[in-house]
Amino acid sequence: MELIDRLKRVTAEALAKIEVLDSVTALQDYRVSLLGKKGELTGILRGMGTLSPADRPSVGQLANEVRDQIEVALEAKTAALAATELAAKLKQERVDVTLPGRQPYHAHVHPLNRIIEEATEIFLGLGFSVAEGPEIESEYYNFEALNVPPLHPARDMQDSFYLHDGHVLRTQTSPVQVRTMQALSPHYPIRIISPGKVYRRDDDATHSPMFHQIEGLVIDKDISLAHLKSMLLMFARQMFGAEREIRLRPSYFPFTEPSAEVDVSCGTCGGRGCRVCKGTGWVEILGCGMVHPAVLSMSGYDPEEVNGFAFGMGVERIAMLKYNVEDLRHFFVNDYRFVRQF
Amino acid sequence: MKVSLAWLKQFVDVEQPAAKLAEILTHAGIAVDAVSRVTLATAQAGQSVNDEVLELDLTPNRADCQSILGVAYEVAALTSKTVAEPVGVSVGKARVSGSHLAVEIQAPSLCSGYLGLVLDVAVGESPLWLKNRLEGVGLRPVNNVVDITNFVMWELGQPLHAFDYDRIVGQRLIVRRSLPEESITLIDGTSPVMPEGTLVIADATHALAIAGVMGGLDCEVSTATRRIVLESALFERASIRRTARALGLRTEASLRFDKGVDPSGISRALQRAAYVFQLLGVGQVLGECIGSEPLYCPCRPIQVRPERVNSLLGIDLAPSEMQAILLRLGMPTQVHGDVFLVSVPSRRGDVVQEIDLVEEIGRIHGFNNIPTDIMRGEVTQGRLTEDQRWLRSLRRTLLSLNVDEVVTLSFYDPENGTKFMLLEHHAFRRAVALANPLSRERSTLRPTLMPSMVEVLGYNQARQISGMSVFEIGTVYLPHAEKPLEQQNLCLGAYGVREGNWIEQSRPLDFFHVRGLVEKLLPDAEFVVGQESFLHPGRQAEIWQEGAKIGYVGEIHPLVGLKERAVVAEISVAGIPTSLGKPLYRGISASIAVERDIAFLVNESISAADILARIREAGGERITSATLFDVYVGTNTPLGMRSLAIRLELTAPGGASFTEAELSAILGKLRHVLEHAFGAVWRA
Repeated sequence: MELIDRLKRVTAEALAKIEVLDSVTALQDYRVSLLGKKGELTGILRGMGTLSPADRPSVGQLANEVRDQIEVALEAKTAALAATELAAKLKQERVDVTLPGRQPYHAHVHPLNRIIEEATEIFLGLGFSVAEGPEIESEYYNFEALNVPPLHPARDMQDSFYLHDGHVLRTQTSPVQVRTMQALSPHYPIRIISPGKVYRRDDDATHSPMFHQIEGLVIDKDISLAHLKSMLLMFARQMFGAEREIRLRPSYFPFTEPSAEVDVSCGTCGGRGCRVCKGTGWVEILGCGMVHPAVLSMSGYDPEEVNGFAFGMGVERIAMLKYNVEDLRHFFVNDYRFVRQF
Repeated sequence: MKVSLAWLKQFVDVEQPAAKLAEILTHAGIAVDAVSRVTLATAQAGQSVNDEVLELDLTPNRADCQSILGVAYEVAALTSKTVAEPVGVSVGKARVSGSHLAVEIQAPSLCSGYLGLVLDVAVGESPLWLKNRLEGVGLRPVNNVVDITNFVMWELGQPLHAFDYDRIVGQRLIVRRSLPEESITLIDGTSPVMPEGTLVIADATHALAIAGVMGGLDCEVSTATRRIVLESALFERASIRRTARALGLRTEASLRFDKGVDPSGISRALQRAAYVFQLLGVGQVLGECIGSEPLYCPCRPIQVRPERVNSLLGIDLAPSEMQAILLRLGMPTQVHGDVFLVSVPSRRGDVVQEIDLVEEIGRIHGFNNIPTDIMRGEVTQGRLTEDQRWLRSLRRTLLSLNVDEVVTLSFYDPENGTKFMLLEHHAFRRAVALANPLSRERSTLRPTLMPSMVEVLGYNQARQISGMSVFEIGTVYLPHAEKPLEQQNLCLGAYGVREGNWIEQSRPLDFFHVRGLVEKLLPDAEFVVGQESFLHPGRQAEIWQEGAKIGYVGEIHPLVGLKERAVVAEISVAGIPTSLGKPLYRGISASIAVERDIAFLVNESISAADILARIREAGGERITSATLFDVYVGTNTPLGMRSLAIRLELTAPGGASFTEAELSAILGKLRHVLEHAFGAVWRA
């Protein structure tokens, strides 16, 4: 039967052709030319209409077999070629992974604000709030209410900046403590820190006429130096490291008594003594003390009923210690080579 | 204050090596800054002896330790030893005048006690031991008379002064305030005019010394001196401080008077000096001590409650232990029930109330012997206020926009008015002035952050930094009737490029970079052409928010003198909406947006802001975004025109999609609006 012969011949040709085609596109084109609406095989099958009804089943069956055979061959070859082509494409797309990447820029927080933020987080966690106040202060808030006697060197024009109207640039952030106490008295407890800019009339390698402080104040019943000590130990360990120790040395501040300077064990040598700690194993980080009864009275508290402690630290000093910054002036010059290290 | 260990050992037994003693003192609040070894000559040529010197850094309250004897009391208290009091010669009780001398105190409020003692002296060189004592603590030997006064001052803390007796007119010393324009020639050769009212020691004709500060040349002890008056007095602290400061004369004597000397010590100092004169065989007392002693309380009784000591320090010391500590400090106690009555010696002028004794007990007990104890009590909520959280979110927004943070000083140079070519009444010329600035450059407080920012940018340009983009949030100070106002400003500054690499192009940090940052903070702000004289006239804008001008952005004017172009923006923080950094969720549309680009020519004078506003208005809810992606002026644009290309994002309401016909209708309407309103010539 002629139709059967044609089917067999076309199939043989098709299988041979599929074997030699070498691209997915060529295979697709060939598929269309064979199996598409106007394809060769389609044309042959269309000729089945002329067959006698007796022949149709056997030819129909053969036709289906032949078409499946070609489809399978096409798919198999397409899959094989696709894999090869993908492999080639991937190989061609290779990049030199040792080349540097695109450089995303990330911003740098100024080291002083970094310390302020870190200290703030520590004290927020200890139940403190943040209190703020003006930088231009009255002598009353900056000195008098803090028990700074008129004779104290700080009140001299040599040491503090004054405005022509008698206001003073605050020499510490403690006026904020007084303002807070006066606003809240006679209520307690008070637990605040006050970070901010302060001013002293000094300008040399180790003093800047403007610098930053963080001060803290606690007012409550039955507060003792032992409580202060434990609070500062927690702070020092969170700020500088869990292995640190602190020690208190008696000192003098007009607004606290007893007063102390606080040293933290040297992080560079672990307390054995080195250049950073000048061989002592300790570095000074802050001043503190029990709030002076006169300060409590002036702010509306009865020193027989409540007491408290206060502490204050220089942010620049903490930053210098924590980041090993050797020169105070770096903080305010903002050399980009400095800024981008934080 | 320098303390020689050998000298100290004259008064108290010291068993510890110098380093250990320094540690003990430091932990009691007498900070020892340094321990150094000094080598001193001996009578035998070529031989020397060593001494050790402690350098004390005293807190202002511990005036009592400005002497070897004072430190000896402290060491004795800390090491449970007793002090061997220095030997003196009795000089008899003071009288107002005697056969050799009269003393008249005309200013008793500035001088509460004054004693003069006349001696026959043989002026010459001091013996080696005396010179060694002085040199060991850094004093320069002069002659035996001056050396003895310095020796006694260092030893007892009481400054002494020697006048050449025979040059005092009328042999009468008058303690008085200086007259207007009165001057004196001092032993250092200078002749300052004293501020009126300066306390002086004078004779009938003129001032012989500035009290407590420095002696005059006229009565200086010289080799020709045969007789002297030794002065030992108690001058008022504030007066001495003012004088020393005003004249720039901070002498060892003035420092001691300034901090306060022991009122009981003035006659003792004379007795001690007389003893040393005798010991050296170079002086003989003539007559008696002339003048008057100050009134003082030899031992003030102060009440202290042992229970309060324990509760404030957080310790549990027995009352008897406290008594023992106080006794070591020379403060005997009497017990009255639950209260101690403590007698405090006059040398401890800093101990006046109970809390001072709490500190004394704590100090000697040792702060390092106080335990740590976690605070109890009511739980408090640690938190930031709304304003603080908002400011924090503003900073974080800026950091998330990759802007670096800087911090600069609050000071301001009044010359900035000229440097930035500011008009006469410009607000940046009105700065709050300091009464006592350190320099002209820092003589006022800044009314703007801009000059500090320009300085930072200029500094980095000069160091070949290729570019930076930074911000500062800081206070500006604005003159105001009662008290200057303090306001928070945000300043942005940028110049140069953010450098790329082999794969990325450098990104310019120019006007539009900074403007873009401002837009992120102020999405609704309006930018209006500005006219600040310190900014480039063609590259600056005022920033308006809700009908108020809240800042400016612009390129720094080339005449300001920066090496490279730089851009600055300054915004009042109060003008930035508090919604910044607070998410406001509006849901997301079920529809998928389609994008269409339009391009048209339009007159250059028409602002892009107006066109974009009109597009948004015309598009209503359907145009969800309009982004200007190209601005072009070139050979094929007609003169005075520019080509704008805008990418529109169109979103159909309610999850639907636009048909092509709907899109054409929207764009057609938009074209009509732009042609009509701005004379736009459609290109695509």
